[in-house]
Amino acid sequence: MELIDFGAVGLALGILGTSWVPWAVIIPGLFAGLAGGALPGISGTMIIALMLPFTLYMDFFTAVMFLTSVFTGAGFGGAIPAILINTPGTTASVSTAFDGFPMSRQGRHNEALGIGLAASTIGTFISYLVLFLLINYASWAVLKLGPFEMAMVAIWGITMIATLRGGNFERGILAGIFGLMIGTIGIGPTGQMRGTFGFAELLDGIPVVPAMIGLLATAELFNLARSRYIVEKQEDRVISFSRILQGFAGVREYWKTLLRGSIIGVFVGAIPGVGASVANLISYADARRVSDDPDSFGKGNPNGVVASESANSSSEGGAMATLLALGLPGGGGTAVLLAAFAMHNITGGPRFIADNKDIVYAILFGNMVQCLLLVIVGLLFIRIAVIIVKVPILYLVPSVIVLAMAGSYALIGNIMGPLTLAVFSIVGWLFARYEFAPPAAVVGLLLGAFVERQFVYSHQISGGDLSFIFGRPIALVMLALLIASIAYPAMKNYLRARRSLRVG
Amino acid sequence: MNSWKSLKGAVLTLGLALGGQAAYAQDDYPNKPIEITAPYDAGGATDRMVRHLAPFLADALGTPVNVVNRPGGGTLTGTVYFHNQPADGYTVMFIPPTPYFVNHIEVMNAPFKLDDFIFVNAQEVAQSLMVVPKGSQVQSFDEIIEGLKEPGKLSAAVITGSSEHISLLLMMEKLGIPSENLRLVTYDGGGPTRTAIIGGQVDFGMVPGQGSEVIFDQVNKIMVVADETNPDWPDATPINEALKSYGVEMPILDSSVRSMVVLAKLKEEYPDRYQKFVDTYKSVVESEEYQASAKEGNYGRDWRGPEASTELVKRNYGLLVEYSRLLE
Repeated sequence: MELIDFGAVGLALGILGTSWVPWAVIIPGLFAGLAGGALPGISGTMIIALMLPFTLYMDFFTAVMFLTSVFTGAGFGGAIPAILINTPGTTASVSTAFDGFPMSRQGRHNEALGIGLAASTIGTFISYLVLFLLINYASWAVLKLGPFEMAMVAIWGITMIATLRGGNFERGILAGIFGLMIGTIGIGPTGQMRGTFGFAELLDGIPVVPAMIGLLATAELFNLARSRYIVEKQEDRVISFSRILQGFAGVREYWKTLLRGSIIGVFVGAIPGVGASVANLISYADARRVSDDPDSFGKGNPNGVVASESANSSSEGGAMATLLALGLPGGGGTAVLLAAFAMHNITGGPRFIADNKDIVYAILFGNMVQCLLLVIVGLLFIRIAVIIVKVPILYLVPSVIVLAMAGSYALIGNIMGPLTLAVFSIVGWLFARYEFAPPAAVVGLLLGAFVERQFVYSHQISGGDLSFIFGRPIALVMLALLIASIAYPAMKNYLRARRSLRVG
Repeated sequence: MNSWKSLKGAVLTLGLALGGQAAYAQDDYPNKPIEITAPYDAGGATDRMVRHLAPFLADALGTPVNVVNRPGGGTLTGTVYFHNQPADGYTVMFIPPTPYFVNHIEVMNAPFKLDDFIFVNAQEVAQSLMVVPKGSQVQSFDEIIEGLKEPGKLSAAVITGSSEHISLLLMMEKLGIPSENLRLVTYDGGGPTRTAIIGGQVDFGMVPGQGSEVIFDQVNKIMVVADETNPDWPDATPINEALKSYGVEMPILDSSVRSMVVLAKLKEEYPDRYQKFVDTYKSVVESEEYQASAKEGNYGRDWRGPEASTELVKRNYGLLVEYSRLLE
């Protein structure tokens, strides 16, 4: 396999140049994605699925351009409410809220949105560039990852629980365990039912999105009820396009985090069934771990926003790799894309890539153009969205709760959605009140069922024989890195303490 | 174009609502959009098939046909929803009823019975296919059986609770091989199962053959659970032929029976609508245009009709109930 097929590159440029129609659908697609991602409760998958019928009368390439624009738009859309009102629009932007919202409260909302957009667009661009270079290899590397490796990936994310302490370390861990436990409610990986108390509604487990909004957002909104505005000081409560632009340009100061986040995103996104909602957590945990000042995370460190947004956006490229090269959907968004492929009687897979390299390259190039257009569309969009900081909390809180309620109803399709939101709002408020770090519970909830499933599969594959681990070199390397990265800061602190003792 | 169609549908619906009973009395079914309930996530094999079918049905029926995914509880949520809809012919369902219904009805005490539904047409009856990744340590049926006799030697992947899961365990039981000998990984869907097989994570796997075409380049087809060789997969030996030298015989359990479903009440309360729906659907499936398009997309395109299809579903249901003890 050669790295790049230049003949196909030429043909791809030909496809891109023949008609203006595929270009005309990009901007509406980006707007639809941004709006869908920004509405709490409407997931990226859902907005793509809603847009699917519009593609019936488009030709294949136009349809893919349109749907991937929605995908790209939704990738950033979720960050907007995460930053402005601590309400992740999708599960992919959970860790964007960790530092984005504190930035807003400090009056740095313009910069936070600008940085988020920059990280998101550059992340997506990098992911498609990686895909262009490695499409022949990336997917095969991913296939070599078995359940044990996937469990390791998820554990990287879970270690983040320990860093999300809201003032009290032990209670933070407990909150994380609570999340992991309730994440296992429903049909287990071997088909038995657990913790459903006979309610058929709980068969699929606790609906993650309403629970997440309840734990993170409504709990925070109750606390805000005493303030008058999200941004306390009136002189900070400005809407400034130039400061949004400054934030956007300022992302170059965080280029290391951006690059690392993008690479993490591509690979995590490519793993079937993992995707953006795990990628952002891993990237955030990683950024905090390598930081010189880990304690500044969670208090408005722009690196946190960059890490999260670059990873959740770049996982789009990773997921596309799996879809195109293997014909397997990596997550909900690409599953709908696969349905769009099917409507045009096209199946992804090695043969599709081999026979249609020009179309594949055209899709990749088209997506790179989408990133550039997202800069413009995104800037306009956040210029409008940032008006939220001018809305008094008195009006903001009820509106957000009503929107979130409607969103959870739409997502789940019955009263289970709003009920979950209500219950977890109370749980979240109690947790926050007694320093049980609600974000730790969210991380647990997001990853609990996944990591358990992967461990069960590992157990089944190995027949319970632990020596199986030694035949999995990738997993061993990951495990070693994980242990080292946890031990290193502790060692550093210990050595520093000894040195200062000696000096003292 | 499509939105214009839906707009027309919406205007029609509105007119109907305003016109009230008068419009109903003439019964010009269908005069508003029809929903096909799809009780699973978008993007799977069954979903792709029904999404491909819907526009053909819409043209033939002269009304928009919307596929609405209502996933949850292993198709339970969507089936309960469908079961609660009025039996007026404006909501139909497309589903592989087995093995899901067995669990819903026998274990979960679902509020419906098998007899509440008419299986209008089992449009695709997928067959369970045993495949090995190219490069696997076992490359033939006999090698697999030999390997199974050694405790812990082989690993395999199936979808949990599926027909393949039961067929594999039943075959081992009939051969007198303890099920613990096999390291069996029970994935929660076709996607992860296929990924594990082509990734070489397991030594072999059993998948619904129709719908797994995407991995055919990377596997060898060993055996098919069917009475006869499938002409599309000449390499796969029918199970009882493969088992002949071992002196055992297996009942043939079909894999996914992808089927159009209406409520039984529709036939009682609106026999004309029922007949019109069945006849139109039949004309679509048998049309040259649909046959050609479905062939190209590798979708099942059989017409079995309500009697044969309902019987087929019931036969598989009975077998699954009989052998569900194997899953415990």
